[in-house]
Amino acid sequence: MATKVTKTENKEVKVKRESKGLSYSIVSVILGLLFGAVIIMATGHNVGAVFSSLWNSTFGSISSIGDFLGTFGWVLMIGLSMMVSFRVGIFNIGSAGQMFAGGFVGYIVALAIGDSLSYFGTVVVLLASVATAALIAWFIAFLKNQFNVNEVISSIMINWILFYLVQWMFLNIGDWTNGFISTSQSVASVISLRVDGLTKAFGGSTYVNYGFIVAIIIFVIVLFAYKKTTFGYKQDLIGNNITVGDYISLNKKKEFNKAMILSGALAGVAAWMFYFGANVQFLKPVGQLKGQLFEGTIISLIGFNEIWGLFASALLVSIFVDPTTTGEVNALVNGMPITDLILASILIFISISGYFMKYRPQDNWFNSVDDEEEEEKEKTKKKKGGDK
Amino acid sequence: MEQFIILAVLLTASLMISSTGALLSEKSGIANISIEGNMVAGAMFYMVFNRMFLGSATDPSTISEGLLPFIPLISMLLASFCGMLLSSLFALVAVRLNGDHIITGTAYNLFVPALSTVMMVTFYSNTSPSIPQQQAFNITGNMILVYPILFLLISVIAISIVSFKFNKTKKGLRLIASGENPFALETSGISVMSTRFWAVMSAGFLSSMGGVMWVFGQKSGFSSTVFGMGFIAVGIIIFAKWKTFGIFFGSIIMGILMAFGQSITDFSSIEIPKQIIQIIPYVLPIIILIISKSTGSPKSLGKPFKKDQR
Repeated sequence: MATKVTKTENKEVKVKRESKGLSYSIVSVILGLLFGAVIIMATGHNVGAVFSSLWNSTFGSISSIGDFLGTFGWVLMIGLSMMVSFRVGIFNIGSAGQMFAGGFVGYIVALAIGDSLSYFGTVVVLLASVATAALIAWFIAFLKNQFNVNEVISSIMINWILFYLVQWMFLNIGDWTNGFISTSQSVASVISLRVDGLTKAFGGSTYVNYGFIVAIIIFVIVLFAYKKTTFGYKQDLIGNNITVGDYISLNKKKEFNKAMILSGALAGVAAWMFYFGANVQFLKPVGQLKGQLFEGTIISLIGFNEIWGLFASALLVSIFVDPTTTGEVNALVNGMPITDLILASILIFISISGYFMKYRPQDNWFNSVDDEEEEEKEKTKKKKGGDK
Repeated sequence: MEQFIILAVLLTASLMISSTGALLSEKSGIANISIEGNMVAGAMFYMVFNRMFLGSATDPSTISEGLLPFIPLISMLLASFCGMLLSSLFALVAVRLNGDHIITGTAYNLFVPALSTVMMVTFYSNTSPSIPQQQAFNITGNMILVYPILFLLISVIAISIVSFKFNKTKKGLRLIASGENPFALETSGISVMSTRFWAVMSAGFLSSMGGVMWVFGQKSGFSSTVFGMGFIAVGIIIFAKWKTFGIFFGSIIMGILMAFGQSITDFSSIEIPKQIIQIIPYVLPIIILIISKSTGSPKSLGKPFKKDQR
């Protein structure tokens, strides 16, 4: 009888937690939008015009919806990549570098095979990207497990190392340029994720590609893995309370490895969608890693690291990352990156709201301990009664 | 060659003072990757104040000729102060509200460049405006060397003061204690919160100053980024095993390397790829972390302090 009660209670606690996370996310998003509005007003532009253009250039026409979907694919994947690492308690800030390097290796392969393999070529490119990104992620996990190197430090450093390596290869090995200085050669049209049928269906949209369909399939697989399999259960267990993992003799190093490799692989898929769907060229790397590669953190945290929350937040963030939307909106405010500013301020508000959530895991933990104690008391009472 | 030396001195000074700031914050137990953002903030405010003092291109300076050479110094002090105020945002979340340090730092690092681009568009109507060079401040002849040397002097003084504080004063010991064992410090009646808060604020002040020193030595425009200098500053701390002495030498080595990487095209006889030299500052910390058994990092680094948890 007692166990049944605790189970239902736990469910209620879980539902409460999720709704709490949802309300904080919504408040943070609203605050971020307000902050953006204040900045727009302070610089003397029309707030209404900017926000209506934000809506219209995303959902205004069929072709702009196509552009939005083209962005949504890789945004969902990079968010998922970050969520996988967050759920086991690792911050894979290196997913940006993994995506970048994966994309470059994919690009090398794509140029090498050309259109010789027809539509099968894009699978080869996908495998190349995923393998590269997963290998780098595994290396970060290896450093953490073997030498106890903090994954944040190593991934930040590896991000920069990868950036300079790719820059060097791009500038010195082979001829990647397309006659122009800043743009590279385009990949063969059979490798690109853009398909004529989709482009026509979405009214000649520039960025639409079948990446978002693949993304949704992968999303469902990950959803299943986290909700229904022991893999997801173990990951969540270690992420929520690492000592419990030790207690039931779960090999946490193995779980870290699995999480990082999965996270890297998802970053590789994101790279495939970003460099061969949303774009068809690999731009000359200048200065530093592009900011858009870092959106994973924002997406995962707005979705409070829950899988359905992630889906919703990926939809939201795609609006702000979609190249046509950002182009039109930022042009309205004299070229200021107002979309980036809104996203970054949302992230700041989210990290502030962490304050209100800080007692979350403990509530649940203490409850379960209390229940066990009560059960034990009942048992001892019964035993005593039996002895008499 | 002269250009190279000036650049090396500026980068060394910039790295030294930024790592000193980062050290203050890390010793107090706050893992501070927002140094990058702080440096951008410093550079941003420096550009803004320069614009205010020098006036726009169509409306030239309203300041008398005699004051002109002092504008970089005044702008630097004001910019560092404003950078400190902005970094109170990070301090508020990471210290007072117990947010995750790394996530908050990442948020700050994404936020400041975006804000900076907005400011640059507002003040210069250009996303990557050109940086006022020495000519704009009427600094000529031997005077050109004065500023780099002054900056280096400031950095050395800052690191000496911090070193003295850590080793010889009560406040320094308290700061170290708040990174090693905050509960012991709290028990002895000192507020961990305020110790950490002021450590992060001074880190903001010093690393903003580092950002100003960086931007002073650049030839191309300021595009709201310091190209990972803040992360190198954090890397130097790891490389130096959280010791002031190591930071002094580490930043000299890294400063010279970075200057070499930036101006390698000037040495046409040497054919080392520029990128290989730029990679070294990022590879060294990882190697140090791998080969050394004890890193010397503060024990409670990166753990939010909650009074009621023990």
